[in-house]
Amino acid sequence: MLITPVLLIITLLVALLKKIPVYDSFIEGIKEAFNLVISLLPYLAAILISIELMRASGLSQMLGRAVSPVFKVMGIPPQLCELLILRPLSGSGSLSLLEKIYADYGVDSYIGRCASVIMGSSDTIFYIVAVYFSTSKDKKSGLAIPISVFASLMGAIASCALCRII
Amino acid sequence: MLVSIYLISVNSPEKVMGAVLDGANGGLALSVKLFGVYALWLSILKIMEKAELDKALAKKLKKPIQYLFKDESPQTYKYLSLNLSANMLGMGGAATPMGIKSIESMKHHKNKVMLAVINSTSIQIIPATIVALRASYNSASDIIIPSLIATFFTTFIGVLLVKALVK
Repeated sequence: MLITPVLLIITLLVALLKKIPVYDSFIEGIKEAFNLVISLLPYLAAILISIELMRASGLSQMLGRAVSPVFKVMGIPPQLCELLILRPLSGSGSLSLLEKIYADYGVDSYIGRCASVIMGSSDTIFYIVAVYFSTSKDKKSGLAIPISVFASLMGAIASCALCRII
Repeated sequence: MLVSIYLISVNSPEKVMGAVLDGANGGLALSVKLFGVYALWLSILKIMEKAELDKALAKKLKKPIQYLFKDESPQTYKYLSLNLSANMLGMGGAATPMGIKSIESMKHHKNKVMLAVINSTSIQIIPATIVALRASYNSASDIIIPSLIATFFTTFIGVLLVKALVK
């Protein structure tokens, strides 16, 4: 996308116009980024280890098979179950699954379009909540995960319905 | 977590070590990747802060943000406006550090949950990665409009639930 380079150029131009020390600002920013990444690392490693274990053990596929009758009632095709389960857990994992769906069912098929809309309208809930609350003083995320999961599920139902009409 | 360890030990114990190492390595690799992204975005944020560009941006999002997040400091509102606008443009890399900074400076639990829910229900206007991937498969159909409706719908439900359920 073009947004990133355009934003960079605008920022640098504004910095020049307003006579802001660009280099010093970058050094300050990088220092902050370093500290941020160090504090995030243990959380990232823990999340990714559990996701790898879930995939390798076949638990995510099993869960997919178990919940597919429920999804069917809600109008979600069973081929999308694994994607729905993996999507809130792993961005790269669900993206590789999406690619597999394109290859298997075709990008313009109903399944392919549903999968795209679901991917485009949801996010990695568990990752985002874990990362955001990792630096907050009270570590309790409370209802954040249940609400996000519920809203995303409603969104998935809506996506599948929308793809039938549009 | 326990269930998956049990399953893998029964089915294919030789995979346990590999999966754990893959996960840990992935964590480190992701941190390195994130360092690059954060270094760039936090530097841009520094320049924007000094140029007071963000204040102009924050003004536009001020009303809806103050409605969604009650009673926080001006500093928090500034980070929030940057987090949400970055999110809308699909700059996930810019959104995350801003989101972390706003949650760090927040006073109320309800607002923290609100931020996490808005971020994790995706308010992206154009799903750039998906559009690019579809193009590489020579897609003829368009998914931007249904995605936009679905995104709006999920975030709306999330916001309603936080308003109704979280104290």
